Amino acid sequence: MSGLFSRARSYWRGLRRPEQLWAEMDEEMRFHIEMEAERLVREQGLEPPEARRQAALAFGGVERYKEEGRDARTLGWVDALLQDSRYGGRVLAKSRGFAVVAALTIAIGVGATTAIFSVTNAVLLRPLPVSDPGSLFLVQEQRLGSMSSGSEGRRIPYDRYLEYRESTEEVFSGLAAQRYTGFSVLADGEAVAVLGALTSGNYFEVLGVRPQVGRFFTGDDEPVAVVSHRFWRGHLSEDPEVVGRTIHLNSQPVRVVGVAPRGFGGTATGVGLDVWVSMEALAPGEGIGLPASWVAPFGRLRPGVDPALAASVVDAVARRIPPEEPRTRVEGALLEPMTGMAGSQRGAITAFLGMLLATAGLVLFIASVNIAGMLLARGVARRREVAVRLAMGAARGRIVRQLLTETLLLFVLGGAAGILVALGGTWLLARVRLPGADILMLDLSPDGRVLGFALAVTAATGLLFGLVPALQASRPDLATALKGGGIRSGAGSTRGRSFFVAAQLAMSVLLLVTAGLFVRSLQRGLAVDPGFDPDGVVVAALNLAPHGYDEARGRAFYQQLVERVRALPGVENAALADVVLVSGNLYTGDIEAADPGSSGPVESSSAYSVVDTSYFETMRVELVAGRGFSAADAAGAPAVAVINETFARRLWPGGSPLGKRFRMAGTEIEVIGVARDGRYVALNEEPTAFAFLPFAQRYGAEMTLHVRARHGAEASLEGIRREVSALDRHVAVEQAMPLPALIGSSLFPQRFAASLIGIYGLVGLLLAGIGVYGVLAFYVAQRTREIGIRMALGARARSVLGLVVRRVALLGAAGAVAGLLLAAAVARLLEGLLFGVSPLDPATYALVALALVGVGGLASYFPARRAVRVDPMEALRAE
Amino acid sequence: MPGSAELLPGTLDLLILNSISLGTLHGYGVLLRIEQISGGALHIQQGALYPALYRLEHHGRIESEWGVSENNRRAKFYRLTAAGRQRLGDEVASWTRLAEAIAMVLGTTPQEI
Repeated sequence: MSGLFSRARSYWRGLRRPEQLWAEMDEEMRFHIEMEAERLVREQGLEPPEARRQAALAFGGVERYKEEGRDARTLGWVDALLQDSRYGGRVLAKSRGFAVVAALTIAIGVGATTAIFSVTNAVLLRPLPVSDPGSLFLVQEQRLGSMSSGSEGRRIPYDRYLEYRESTEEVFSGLAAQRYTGFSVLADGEAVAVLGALTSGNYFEVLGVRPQVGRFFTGDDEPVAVVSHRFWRGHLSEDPEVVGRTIHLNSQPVRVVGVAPRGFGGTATGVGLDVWVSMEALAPGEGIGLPASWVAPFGRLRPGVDPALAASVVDAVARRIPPEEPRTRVEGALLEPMTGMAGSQRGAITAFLGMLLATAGLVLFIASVNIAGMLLARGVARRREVAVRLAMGAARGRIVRQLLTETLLLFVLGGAAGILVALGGTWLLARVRLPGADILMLDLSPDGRVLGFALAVTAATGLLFGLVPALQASRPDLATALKGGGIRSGAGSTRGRSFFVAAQLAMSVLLLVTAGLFVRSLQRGLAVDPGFDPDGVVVAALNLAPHGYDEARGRAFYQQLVERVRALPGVENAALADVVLVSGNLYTGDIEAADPGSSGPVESSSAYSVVDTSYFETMRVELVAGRGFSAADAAGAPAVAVINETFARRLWPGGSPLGKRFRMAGTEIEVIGVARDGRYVALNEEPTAFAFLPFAQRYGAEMTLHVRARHGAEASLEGIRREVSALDRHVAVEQAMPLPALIGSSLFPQRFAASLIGIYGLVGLLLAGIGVYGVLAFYVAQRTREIGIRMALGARARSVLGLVVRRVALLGAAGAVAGLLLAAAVARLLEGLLFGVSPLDPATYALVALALVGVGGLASYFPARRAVRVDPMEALRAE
Repeated sequence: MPGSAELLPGTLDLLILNSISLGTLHGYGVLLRIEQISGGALHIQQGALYPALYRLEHHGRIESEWGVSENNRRAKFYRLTAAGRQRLGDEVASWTRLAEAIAMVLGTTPQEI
């Protein structure tokens, strides 16, 4: 080891002051010669000039030994690497065109993969922006009976949490608790719906987060709030005097005491909380308009404490504390590491991202194969140079190393450009606005992990795809190379290249077919008739419960709102419903026929929605029998419902359901109308039983306004917001958007995958096309002589063309067949994601095959033209 | 004078280390000492000494310092480092073992080399 250190030191010295070392060696050697000369004078009585001459002779070549001395100070491989790099750099600078094309190709491959990895990093790999996230654990109680859980974890009553806190002090340095809550925040005159959390007072302490402005909770006796950095910037104008300002949460005034640091949005990856309120200052049961009794606890292990020990302590505490009501049984508690993502979600997300990463990997593969092909071609062109070097005694290994270094240099350049491409890609991704996903907070910026990944990918592909060309180029086949017949003897490499180009084509086919299938399934999905007309409708969700509205006030509010909105210019109609159909959320209840004697099943379940009297007209829901709701179906009147065809078929097959009765949730309901079947949860669902219930008979504080207007969505939404604000400025409007967009957003994963895979597929096809061109151009160049001979012997242009075309056709066919088979296999795997489309959808496959033929034809045009234009005389004369 | 022997590759380092181990020397002094001790039996190209010296220094077996020679001229003096002393011991041991083995094979008793 000390040897290495001294070598490095000596090398460093040699690097810093080479002239000084040179001069020192010079002086030392001159001293030696002088001493020897003096000795010769002394011992042999020579004359000084003669003595000096003999001494110099005995010494040998001073310059030569100085050079050897300098070489003795190398660090071996580092020196060689630098030398190779410098040489490689010069070679690349000379063939700038090749270098640029190759670097761009690599940039595309590396960029595509790194961009996806950035997303993977942000979603799965990046730890929470808190201190030492590895020591944070969720406490998950296992209970039977009453249970409550949310995305923040399993919840327990607040008092129970306090008992945990006291009893676990020896294993946890702090135990906090939280509960996600939606808030309607009034700040700067605008009511906004945000997601926040009610937390214990030590929430920020346990997480180890420091405030950006102001402070966090410190035992206040009145409710105070901490806002997120994003909220402060977006809705409080980044006011430096924000501390002490009062905002309204669910109509209650609350003082702001601090701003959370930038980038902190709570403990769930991707979810950005905007408000935190300490529960300790709230009276029991009070939660700023919401019950805050159940919370999800999490704690930080004391340093050095074994998680298993802490788990057993927590488990014991869980069993010891009596449950809050006798019917509940607590069977213990577990500790789950806090990773920002629930274990159940992780699987699905990992699979999805894995698929995207695999797609990018294919693009990288295609790009790298192109590079390898280009390098092989260059290797053949440089045969002479390499042969000369081999003849002069260079070791083959040395040449391979130098060629590899050249390739790596190229890859480093391309990789750096690739990182820029990835940055651009993630910038674009961040701009994607998911409807209704304002709570999304994902930091896609690159960090060490992403850069490390880019570097690793670049180095690995560089080595992998550079090795074979380097080995090929340095094959010690000197005689042929020097004779100049090297060009012709590339047969083996052409076969190899052809195989790889066919592989590229196959990969592109795979990508394009997959993308095509996704697109088709999207089309199918969007073309499905949902049973209502979403075009021209905007929706806006409201929730009056947190603001303390009772039924009377609530009904008055909604009635006024609908009237006012309907009176707005351009509005055709407005209605209320408790859910938006086909947005993924629905209520279901058990039903049973109240009229015995029907031959069908008497018990079933049905989804339902509460709507007002103008709903069917506004949404253009077709009624095939009976009527819709009217003013007659009021609060005291007999309970009625409008059911859909499937419902009718289920309960009363073969007869008219009008006038029949059924029971749901203890109420007996009469059927007054039948609606045409539609879609209720998702566009691709099976026929579902569905019932519409009148708002007048079932009040809900959370309703969504559906407005059909003649003019654009923005104007309608503006009007809606204005009217809501006029009625009550504290009430915020959520999920305000055009209905088609909301429906489309449920298909977002498919749309995203289709776009991404489609883009990658096209890029891959382009690169493969370049690969085909490369192989063909090379082939023609190789065969120039042969073509010349053929033409001289009377062959016509057509047969020469035939040569080239046959080549392309073979390549293309091989690639296409392989690709289509592969695509069919993969499509089978993805069958779950494709609805309404067979994994062997002929239209898609045919289209892709056509694209392949098109690209192949285009790529072969120029080489074919060159082949036909070969002048026999020229070809025969050249070598 | 017994027949002069060609230096086997790699043994130059050993000779240099040994010479220096007997006292700090400059390059010329090392040459003299080698010739002196071997009774002139070993011939080395004088200049070839220096790359060997630099290599040994590079690997940390000897260290150098500019000083003044016996006739008041500036010269670079070399001395063994601890690592160098260690290395010398190891090399001498393995050489001795080798020499004994060869001698046994050749059937003669070990003589002074």
